[in-house]
Amino acid sequence: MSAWPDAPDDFLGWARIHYDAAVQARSFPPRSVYGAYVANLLEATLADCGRERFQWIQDEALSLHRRKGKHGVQVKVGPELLARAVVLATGNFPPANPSMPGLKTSTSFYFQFPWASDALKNLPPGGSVLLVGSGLTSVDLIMALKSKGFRGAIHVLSRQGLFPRPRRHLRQDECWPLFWDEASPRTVRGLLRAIRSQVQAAAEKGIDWRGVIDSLRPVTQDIWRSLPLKEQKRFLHHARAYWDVHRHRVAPEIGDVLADMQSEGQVRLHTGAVTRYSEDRDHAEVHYWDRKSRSEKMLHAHRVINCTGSESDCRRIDESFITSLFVQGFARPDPLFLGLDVDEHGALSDSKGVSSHSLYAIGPTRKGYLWETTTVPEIRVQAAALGERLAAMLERKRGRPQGILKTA
Amino acid sequence: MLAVHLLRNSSSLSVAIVDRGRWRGAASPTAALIDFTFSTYPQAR
Repeated sequence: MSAWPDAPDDFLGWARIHYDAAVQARSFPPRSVYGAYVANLLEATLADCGRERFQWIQDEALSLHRRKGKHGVQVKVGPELLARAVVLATGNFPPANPSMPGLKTSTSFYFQFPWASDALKNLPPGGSVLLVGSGLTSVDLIMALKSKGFRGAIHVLSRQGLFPRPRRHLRQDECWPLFWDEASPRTVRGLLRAIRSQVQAAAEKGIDWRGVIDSLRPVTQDIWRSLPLKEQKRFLHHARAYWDVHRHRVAPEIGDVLADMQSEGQVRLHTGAVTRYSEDRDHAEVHYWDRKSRSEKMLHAHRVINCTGSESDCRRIDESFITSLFVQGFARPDPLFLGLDVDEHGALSDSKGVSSHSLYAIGPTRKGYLWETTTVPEIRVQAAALGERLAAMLERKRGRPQGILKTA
Repeated sequence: MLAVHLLRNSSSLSVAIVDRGRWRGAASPTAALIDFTFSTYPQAR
């Protein structure tokens, strides 16, 4: 979790001083602690490098234009900003609505944004909640409901009906050797076969499947890039949900709580998709196609919360800045519509496929190129490489101070 | 994090972050910088 690829224990050392002396490498500190760590890094950097070189502008970037060899960024309130380079560091985009025929714009019980401040407010104690989607967001919401003392039923509906698997602290001898190389299969079927066979071989030696999955972590981006486009599409269609729940796991303690809530019957997982949504005065009525029984079923819920995760298809994102990039041909979606089309350095490809020298993306918007690009170990590598690249490029060009604008 | 790397890699570049200052409805002064940890709990290492 360190900000420095070459100093992986930096956050751990910081957390032991500023959060909890007993924190271990395998601990799971809250997000707020990580936020404080990054804020502290920035503060220390400004103290070293000079505060006059940094500005935090609280405003909304609306559009981008060419201005005399620079980029002009129109913002909502303040004056236009000029910069030599612009990096899109937007993080995850807000979630889009899942397909719910009958859902109207004006709704009393449905929340598109799971983190809305009132999403969990004023629930009747014995009421019921429906979470649409069963990934990490859904697990976060279940834990939030539990911590609020909610005693009612929590229904979870998703197409595959899979919760993220729990992490397990692996023993030192449970590390599995890397078994992928450039000669490995370039098909989803071939890769899945190889993974299954490795998991079986590991099990025969008493090694957990997690060791096998984790062995692929350093090369996941290489595997993704080695696949032809049609195989990447095949992965998204057939294997994505299974990969996600095995790769993006929940903390062991959270997994235990979730398992208990399921066995006690408070959390009920359904497999299917919403076919019809309506509301009356007291609750939402949600019809869904149940894949297991192959029949339509119905649930009543006092709250329906969208937990399908962030939208990655930039064509569906209601952000004027992104729209402005497309309209002017500064950027285009990647071929799988997982983010923006970028090259190996994160440079945006324009509408004709030419890499920019001054427009970049970092983080989840690189998903089409990298697939795994959401966790800190991935982001810090991008941040370090892009920081080095842009600094070298812009200082070489002019030999005097340049402006870099990083929009978030 | 990128701002930190940019500033430390250069002796003269200036950096600005433009951010709406809201983060999934939660109030956080470090909104832009921690956005990517959304929905996952960071592991210490």
